[in-house]
Amino acid sequence: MSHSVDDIRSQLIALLPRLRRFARAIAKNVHDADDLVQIGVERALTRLDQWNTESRLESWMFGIIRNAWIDEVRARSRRDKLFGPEELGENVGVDVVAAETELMSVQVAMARLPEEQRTAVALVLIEGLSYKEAAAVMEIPIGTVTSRLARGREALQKMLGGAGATVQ
Amino acid sequence: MNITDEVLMAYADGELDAATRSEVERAIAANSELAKQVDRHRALRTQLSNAFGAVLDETIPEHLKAAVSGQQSSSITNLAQVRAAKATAQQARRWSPANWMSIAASVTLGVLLGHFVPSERHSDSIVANAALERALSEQLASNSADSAVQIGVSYLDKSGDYCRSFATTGNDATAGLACRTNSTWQIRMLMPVEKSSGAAYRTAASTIPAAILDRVNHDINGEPLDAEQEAAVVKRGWNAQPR
Repeated sequence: MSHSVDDIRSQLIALLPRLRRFARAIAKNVHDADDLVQIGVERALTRLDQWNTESRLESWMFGIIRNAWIDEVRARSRRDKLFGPEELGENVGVDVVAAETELMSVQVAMARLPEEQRTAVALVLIEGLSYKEAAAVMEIPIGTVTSRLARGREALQKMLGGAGATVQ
Repeated sequence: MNITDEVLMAYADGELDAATRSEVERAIAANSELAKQVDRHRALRTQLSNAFGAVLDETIPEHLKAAVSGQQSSSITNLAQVRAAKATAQQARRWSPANWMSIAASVTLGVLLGHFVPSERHSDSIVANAALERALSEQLASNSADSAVQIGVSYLDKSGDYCRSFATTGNDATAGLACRTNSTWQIRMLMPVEKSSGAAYRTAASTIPAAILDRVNHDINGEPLDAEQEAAVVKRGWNAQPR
């Protein structure tokens, strides 16, 4: 597998739909999500040397996007202290994603999870990463992924009113 | 072994080694309640995939493709900068309260939304930083063309405070409204400002978003200060008019 810059660029283009989906799942808001993807792509391109090619490109990208989001959450919390909580815009966009009530409630339920649980759920249940891969992305032990995932799932199932119990 | 929910979850996610897996399968076969729990875990995964799967079919925004091919400035490191770059790109639109509201609704982070800071919550209110403080205190609207902060209109508001609209230049161009309360400049409003790309700023007044002008119109007591009154109040350090 070649890793020239051009090659990575074309892999990134192919990855954009998934990066957008991941960002959408963690950022709760369509606009923030795409901005996160853009930041992620730009950060990645300036530090390609830091990509450990043993790991999959998407895992590396998920990690960068997640870190960008954490930076933003922290910045926002500092800003909220300075400027008072933002009321406008909070969680806006969740209802844009899907018109169906059931699907919308999934977005809302996700948005209500604590950050760390939401990221674990997004990586494993939406992006299909293994626990081990998710642990590498989040830079935490596998056991921690498992427990965050378990708590996240439990909370989601509660919020979705047991809708998850319907077997497909 | 003790079949906890975490084990069932790992089973549903295909994370167990072969030995544990067959042990769980035996337990499930003997207990339909466990089987239901596994089904719930799998159904939740399906539900999540369905809910977020639609994103995959969306058209990729051009600016993201451009970012990958390196056609955009590569110094962007946070959401505020992304927004500033975007605002520069979308320069055509004029601000109005209506589109400000829609932008406020869609932009959560990075930009400073127009917060109305009650003056009694002094500790929480926004106070101008040193550079802005200096501009607000010393600068005249007429000589702000080349300055980092442009002063727009100055006036007395209905509660008797002096207020000035201002705009900062640069990437995070921001317009706002500051009022002199308890001998400090407090920011009453802040919002991103659109800038005509590449071109110099228009006159200070026209860079000020309509939403800020609306607030000025609402709060103002009488007429804005004219150049002479402005100069006089700057000279006496924004103290109330001598009686």
